[in-house]
Amino acid sequence: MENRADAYTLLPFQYQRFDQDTFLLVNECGDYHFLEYKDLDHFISGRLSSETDCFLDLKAKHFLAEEDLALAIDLIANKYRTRKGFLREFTSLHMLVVTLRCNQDCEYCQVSAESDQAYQFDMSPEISRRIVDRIFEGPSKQIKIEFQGGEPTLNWPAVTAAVEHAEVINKKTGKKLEFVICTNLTGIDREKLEYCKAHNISISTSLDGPADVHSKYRIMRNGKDSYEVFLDNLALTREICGADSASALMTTSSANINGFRMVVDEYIRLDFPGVFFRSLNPYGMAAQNQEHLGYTTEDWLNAYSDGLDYIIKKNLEGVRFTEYFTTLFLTRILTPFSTGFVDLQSPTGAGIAGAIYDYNGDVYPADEARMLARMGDNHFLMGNVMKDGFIDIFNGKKMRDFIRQSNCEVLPGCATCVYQAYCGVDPVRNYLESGDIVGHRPNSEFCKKNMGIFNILFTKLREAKEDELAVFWSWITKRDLMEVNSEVISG
Amino acid sequence: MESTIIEKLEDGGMLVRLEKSFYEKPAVFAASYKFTGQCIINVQSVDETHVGVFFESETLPEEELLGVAKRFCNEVLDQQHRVDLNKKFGYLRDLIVEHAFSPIVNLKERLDGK
Repeated sequence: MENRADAYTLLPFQYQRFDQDTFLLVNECGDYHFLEYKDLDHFISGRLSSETDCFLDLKAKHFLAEEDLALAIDLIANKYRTRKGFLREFTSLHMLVVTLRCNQDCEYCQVSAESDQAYQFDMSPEISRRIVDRIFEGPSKQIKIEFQGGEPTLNWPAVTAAVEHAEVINKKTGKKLEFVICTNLTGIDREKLEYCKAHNISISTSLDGPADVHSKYRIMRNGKDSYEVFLDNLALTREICGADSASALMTTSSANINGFRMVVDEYIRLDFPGVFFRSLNPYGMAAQNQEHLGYTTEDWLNAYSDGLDYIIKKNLEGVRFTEYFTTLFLTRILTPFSTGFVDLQSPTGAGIAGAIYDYNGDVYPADEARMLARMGDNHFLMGNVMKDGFIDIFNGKKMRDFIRQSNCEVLPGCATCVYQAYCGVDPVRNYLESGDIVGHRPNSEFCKKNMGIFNILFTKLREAKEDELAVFWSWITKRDLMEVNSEVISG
Repeated sequence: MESTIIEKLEDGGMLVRLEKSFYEKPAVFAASYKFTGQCIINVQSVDETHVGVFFESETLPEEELLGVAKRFCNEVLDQQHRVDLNKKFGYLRDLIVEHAFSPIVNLKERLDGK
């Protein structure tokens, strides 16, 4: 076999020992390849024969180039640009905290919501409209306005003011405009739901599991059972807005950390098409009640892994059901496309992919930054819509500073990480955990969690079970598993 | 068994001596950083040809600190390997990012004249 030293050029990649004999390689555009040690040694020392399958695989995946180096660089750069597509679009997700009031007093509330009588924490319709003005000053052709709280349905005038003002402005600008309301559903009624239907407002809600789990920490201030009210209003929502009008995500607490399977069963029983396994963030009441609500990152990863296996099994049994968090990761691993999830962007998606507007018009780069402000630290405050314009807020020194310091490509610990191409930076979490934006990777729970998820998913990709991969592709492409399987069979 | 590459210090700390001709500063720093969550690390030149990496901890027992120092030895080797690799393709990484956001018209010439 011919050895062709210097006959090919190594293209940039990161690597990590994956198991005893295997290394995982990931390149700049996110293509990955598992390589046996002996092949890796031959590859990097320029001794890999061009006649081997390994050589052809590495060439096809842009880990090496022969005389076609310029073409390879061009292709990688194209993919790289596609992966960073969120930069081109700039801020498209705008979250409005229309009130801090909430009709629930959840023990794990990350924003420390106020009582349902604390009207001083309501956003005025004037501020709501001014926020919309600022949003439309931005360059993004797609705008998603998300209403949050507290419980946003408690301050309906601020919601309708924003919706109707945005619709009027958009008649001239013609942007792709979407609305979402994040509600616990316990404060919603027929009139509000009919408004949601009339104005195409999507509904995002929360469900933590069966009755005893859901109601354990989600406590209604009026003494009613939060699960029962939720079920009644979910039925009403579906009756008025349609069967698939509401999506849900769960929050992991000590009540369900050992029962992701029962959470999945509950979601399936209630006809939700999928679940988002969400871990608790250490802000607000969640931080204060950490002792009895909390769990370790390792515990969460074990629960996630078990829950994921259970969902895959359900899919293979014929139940179409998606884990959305996994889908985000897989989309980043298996496709060149950009995903909108703020936490998995580099440079950070905070401020670039999304921004949040507090009830008083203050603007923060991420919900967590607003939560931090509720804890008394205004470090990430970018401006206020009543006195600052879009350029002042989004091109200000503060935003430039934290974006400059929030790039995986250069951060200590991230710069040589094999998962760099897929991962992101959370400057707010870094700041909370370590006191500065850069953070400290060896002690970072954010890093530990993401690394854990990547390890779980790459173990599955390494095993390459056809049926599991088909399930993954059905989630990424939002298609039926049968349809994906038929493509695999027909080649 | 006593380690032959790690020196136990009288104050309970550990010292790893690295030959400057084999290990470069970025590799030593990158490897050291990875262990800063477990103990205190100090990097300083110990003589003309060696850099010393000192490990110290008020909480870790000696055996565990020794384990950290041993894992460091493998890590610094790995990091030096990355530094070496980056010398081969680091300039391409810069070109890819540049070309992605500001397409280079004469890419082939830039590559030829690297």
